[in-house]
Amino acid sequence: MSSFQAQAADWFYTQPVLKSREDVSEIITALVAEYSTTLYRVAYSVTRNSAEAEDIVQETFLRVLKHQNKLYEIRDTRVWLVRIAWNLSLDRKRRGKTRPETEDIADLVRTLPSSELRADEEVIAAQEHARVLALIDRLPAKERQALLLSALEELSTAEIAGICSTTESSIRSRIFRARRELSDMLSKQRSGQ
Amino acid sequence: MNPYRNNPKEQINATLRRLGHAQPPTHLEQRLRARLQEKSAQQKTRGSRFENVFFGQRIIFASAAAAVACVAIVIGSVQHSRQRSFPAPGLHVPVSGSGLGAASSTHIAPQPIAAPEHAHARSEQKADGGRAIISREAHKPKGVAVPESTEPAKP
Repeated sequence: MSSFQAQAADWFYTQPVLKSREDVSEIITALVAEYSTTLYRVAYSVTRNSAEAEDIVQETFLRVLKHQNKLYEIRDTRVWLVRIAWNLSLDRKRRGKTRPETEDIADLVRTLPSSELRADEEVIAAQEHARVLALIDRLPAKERQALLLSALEELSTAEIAGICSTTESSIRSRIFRARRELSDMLSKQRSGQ
Repeated sequence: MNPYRNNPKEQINATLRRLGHAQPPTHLEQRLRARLQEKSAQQKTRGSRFENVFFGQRIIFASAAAAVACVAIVIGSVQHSRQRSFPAPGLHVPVSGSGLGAASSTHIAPQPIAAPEHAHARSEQKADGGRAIISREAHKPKGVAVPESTEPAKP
């Protein structure tokens, strides 16, 4: 084989579009292993329904499968996947298909991780969390997004900024505002009780 | 008893911490992998079937579409050229009517006009040093006021 032919063959097999299906399948399997929990948490923070969150994670990876040719052009996979999951979650919520499990305290207790609290304390705490989550839903969309994503330890401020297509300082100020408003709303609720 | 009664910030933190540590259902990964493999296999079979049916005949479809387009263009142009009415050779008398006409629509007399025997112009102009002469004897149509000449009458 001449050097030209060797170069041509080398170029042919290194083209991203021409990668075999087995390669793509392996990559997607690796993505599932690495990001499924993060994506589940992202979806759950919006829908608060574990079945819906699981569906959203699956749909996210189906999107990846559909756009597998673009997989090699993505710079930050985590940001890309979280953005897809977030948009899918919002779509579902907008269509009103989800019923937050936080309405059912028993469900909430089952879904959220257990702590060292007693059973009755756990129920009270779950009720309090449900109240805070309801108040979070009343926050402006941008501030809510920044606050909910900041709850995920896996995501840095830079990554949240990438997901929200804004700057890190903007994210920091959104989180600050969200917390302040939430705190005010909680104090008002308490004083009204 | 509410453990966060006097500390709303701590309550917010606790809620966010819980949300951020929500545990996915057991065997989520396995279920996802199984469903993705199933979907991938479906796509593969559907894609190969589609390719088999369509890919081999793509050139035929493209050629047929191009031929149809060419025929349509030819038929259209022929019909267009037939619909155009060209003026008959010879005299062309424009139809009077709307008053709107092209500059080229000149009126041509249907018969040739014979020249008079004593060929004079319809009016004669006599100029004296570039000035028109208005004589008292000039024939004027009735009812037209003629200004009086300021020059004294010549003997």
